Amino acid sequence: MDASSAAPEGAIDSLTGLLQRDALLAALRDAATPENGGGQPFALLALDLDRFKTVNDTLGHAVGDALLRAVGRRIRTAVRGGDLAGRIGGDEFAILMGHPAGEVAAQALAARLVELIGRPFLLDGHSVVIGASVGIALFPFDASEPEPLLRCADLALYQAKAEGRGDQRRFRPALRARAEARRQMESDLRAAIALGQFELHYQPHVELGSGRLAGFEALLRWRHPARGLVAPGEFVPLAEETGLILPIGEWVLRTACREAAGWSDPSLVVAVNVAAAQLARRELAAQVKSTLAATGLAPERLELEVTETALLHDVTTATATCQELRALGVRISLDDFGTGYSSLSRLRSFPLDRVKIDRSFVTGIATEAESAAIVRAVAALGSSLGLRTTAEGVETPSQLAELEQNGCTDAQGFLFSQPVPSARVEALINRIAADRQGPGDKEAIAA
Amino acid sequence: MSGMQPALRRVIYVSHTVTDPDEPIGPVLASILTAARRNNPRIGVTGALLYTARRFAQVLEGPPEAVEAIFETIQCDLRHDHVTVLEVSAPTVRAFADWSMAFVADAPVRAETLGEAGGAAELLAMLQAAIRNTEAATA
Repeated sequence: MDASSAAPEGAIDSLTGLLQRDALLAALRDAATPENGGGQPFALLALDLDRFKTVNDTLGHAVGDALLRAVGRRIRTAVRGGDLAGRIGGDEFAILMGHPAGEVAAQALAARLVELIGRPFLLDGHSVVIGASVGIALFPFDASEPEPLLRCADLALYQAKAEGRGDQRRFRPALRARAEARRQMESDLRAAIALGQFELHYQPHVELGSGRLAGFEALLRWRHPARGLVAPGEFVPLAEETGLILPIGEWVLRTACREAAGWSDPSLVVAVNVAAAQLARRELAAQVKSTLAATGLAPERLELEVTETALLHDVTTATATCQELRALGVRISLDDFGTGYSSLSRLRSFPLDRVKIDRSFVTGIATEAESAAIVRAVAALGSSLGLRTTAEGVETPSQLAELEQNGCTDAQGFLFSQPVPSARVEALINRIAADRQGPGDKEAIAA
Repeated sequence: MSGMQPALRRVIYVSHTVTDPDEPIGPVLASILTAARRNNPRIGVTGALLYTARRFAQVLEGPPEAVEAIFETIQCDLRHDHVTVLEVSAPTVRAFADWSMAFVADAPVRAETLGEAGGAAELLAMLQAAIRNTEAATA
């Protein structure tokens, strides 16, 4: 018995031949309700296709539909008699495994589904390879009500996807706690802008040779009412996932420009990090322009830091946006160089003023020949392309000496100062000026 | 002109058998070939099957819809796994026009080279040569 023979005709999804969403959910309710003949242990699998959207986008909806049809056929091949399979969303499926269905049987079915759907499809002359991720929840152990059980299977599915796709995961209570914490953080994050919980801290960057303070990088901090000061690593990924990075990024830009406009030294540059999502939008240049106008900061004093990963999203838009920004007088620097998908051709083709060498290379510069060689090569490359090179994460005088010797033009790190709150920026400007021994022996800077 | 002829599709894939190594493969091959030779003439599909060192390699050619339908049926077969498509093409002539499903066993091709670039062309040439030899021997 398969899905189609067990269900009334109208309940079948015409594309895949599987149950429609409502029919599957009704069967799930019955299976969980003793009065309706249910209540026996059973397993629920949530299945999601990996890369389906890519196929739809690149080969068209007709091929996407043909793919769903074939996936339906493979799911029907994989399930046992008595199991009910349904399509509950665009490329989301659920399988209700009838009794007996313990963890072992559920995992065996999940493995069969992953294997079958992972095999090539031949569609309209294209060999298409997608994959499937599966989450498993068991009734009544994981949840004894239908909707919560489906949520358990979904949470396990998200976990499978988060851990690399093309695999299966069984629900664990820790997943629910994590999802709850995430939901809480998301709602806190939504409120944070309005409640004024974000603040910027500033870390100086210094010109090598002269020791002159060149400017500050603005770093986002979240002063959470219960958790204290939260580092960006803990909330920026969630902000990026939820799209909240856009209003947050706008706040950072506006605040950094306003605060920098008030600094006593009008030659200092403020560097602001720009997220991939901001860079992918054509309005970034207009937004920067109006922010500069509103805050009175000279364009030359603003530097926008982009990462290579952010450029990868849409190189064409990013290039156009950065060209517009540079036309305004704003400078562009490439952050974390050497970590992501580093490409030397990008240094040549992308409109840039500066490359920031990732701290991982700087840390070892005084002790490992390889790190020194990489820093030297990037500095030389930057120099011949007319770019400044800033070493990030400088912590010791010996690292500083090596960086100067290897041709870097600027440096940033705890050796000069930790990031400080806005209120302490003036004191830091004065301290760095006082630390400079006179005008300094102005070494020639490769530039 | 090729434009006057009906469109042809060819797909070449390799896979691993998942049958028990201690069980004879003969009955499995017999059932695959019997089904292919029964069904293929009706839908205009021709091709060749190779079995060597626990690997399958198969060439299917014919009307695009028929080839895609048969390929999908084969993908749902749990007797093999690790399926890799080596080639999807639109040839002007069939390589195995006279064969609903030719069979070659233990051919002189290293299993490892099958999945490499150029493996499809090598495989096709080898299968055609093997079948010509069989024809010559039985002529």
